[in-house]
Amino acid sequence: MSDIPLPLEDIEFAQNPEPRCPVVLVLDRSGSMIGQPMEELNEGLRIFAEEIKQDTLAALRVEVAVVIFGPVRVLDVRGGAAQEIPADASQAFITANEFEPPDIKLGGDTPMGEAVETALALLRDRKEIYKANGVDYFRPWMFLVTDGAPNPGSNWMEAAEHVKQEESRKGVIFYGVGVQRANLKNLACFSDQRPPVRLKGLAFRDLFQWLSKSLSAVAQSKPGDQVALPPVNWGSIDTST
Amino acid sequence: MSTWNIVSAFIAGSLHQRRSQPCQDYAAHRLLPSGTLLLACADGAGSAEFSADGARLAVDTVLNELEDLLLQETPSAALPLAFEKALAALSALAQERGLPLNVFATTLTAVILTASEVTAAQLGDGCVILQDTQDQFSPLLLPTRGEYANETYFITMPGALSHLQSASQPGLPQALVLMTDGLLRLALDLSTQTPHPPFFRPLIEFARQAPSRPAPNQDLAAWLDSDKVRSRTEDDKTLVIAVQA
Repeated sequence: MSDIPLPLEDIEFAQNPEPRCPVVLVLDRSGSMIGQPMEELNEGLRIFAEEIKQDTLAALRVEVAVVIFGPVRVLDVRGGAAQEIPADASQAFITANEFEPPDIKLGGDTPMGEAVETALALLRDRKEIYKANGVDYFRPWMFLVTDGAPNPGSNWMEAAEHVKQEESRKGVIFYGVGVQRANLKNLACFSDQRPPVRLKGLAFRDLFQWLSKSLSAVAQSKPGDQVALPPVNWGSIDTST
Repeated sequence: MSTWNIVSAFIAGSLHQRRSQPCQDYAAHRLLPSGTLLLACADGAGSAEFSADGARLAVDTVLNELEDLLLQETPSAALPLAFEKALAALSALAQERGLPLNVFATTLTAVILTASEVTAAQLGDGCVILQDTQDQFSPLLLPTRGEYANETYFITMPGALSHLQSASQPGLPQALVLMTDGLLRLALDLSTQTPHPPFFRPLIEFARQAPSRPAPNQDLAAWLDSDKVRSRTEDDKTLVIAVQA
């Protein structure tokens, strides 16, 4: 573009930090995930990392943290090392272009409720950090990838209720993602707005579109009244099981 | 009486081009026989299907209505009335096409420069920047945002007009720049909400030298579409620059 007039060539830009979109991946590695489900989860994680890096804008704006259960642990995902780190929002997130998917190993029981509460707290704290530093941010996301079989008698229903409340305050966008043979009925309890989907064939990339779309600032009273997010055509939707 | 050199351009962002979406920004200006200058721009919502139509209709309507209203009204009184008319025009279009109003969601920013004052109003996340005769920059209108980075007010939202921002300043600026949100991160220091002078000075210098025409300026459009700009923003971009000749 050598024919652009000189004064325009001289224009210098302000330096502002990129707006951020915090994402927590909550990953089930309980005993029931043995075999194919665990392989599918690790493959999904690799695809997530790959697709997010292909979207230049998302790669700079999305910050990823990983919570695994059980037991509940936050992982350091720099360099794929998967070291355990404290559940601290100032350390748990890295920008997507640096995200190296860890290889999740099979663990023990299924404290799904505790893991989800940990993720909610990380997202809330991360937003406070953005505010304190004058960084613009997008609505946080949470992905819960599981076979949908939490510890019997555990508090997971309470955690599901907390996610719904946060969602209705527009505080989080929740995606319930089931591995093969997952109980999607349980996963459906976490959101009134998006039905759970199957991990296999899930096109993460289509999700990142909304990062560039302008949205209405006021919650609409009637659900479905406002085009607020890309439609849920990004996975095989199945609420029948 | 002041004479103004006016240069404008609006162009689709690289993201919109990649996805074959139309440019959802629109801008226009009009010089009235009285010497009053009207400027307007609009940014159609990325999440709304026909927002490009909404942006264009909002800008055209607000300019038409201001031209009529200013025969009777002061600029401060005319602007809210013209925004009401713009909303009415969008509602009529929605009805005619049998579509919900929000598929035409758009921001709207309008400026009136009379012989003695500058007055502006907006809904959404555009901005209006002034350069005074001492080469100092100040915002006349800053973007309105929601909690999240991609959220703002659209004229089509229920009760939107109650959020109308307006501002007026006696005396005339040396130059005035209107923009939609695509360039905000390049043009403003967001932590202090102040204009970034190294962005505006060369731009105004360019506008001073360029021929003043109602049509979009091709050099400015080429710059908005240059790699330098595209590497920093993937959104639609609009600039309207008025500088005292």
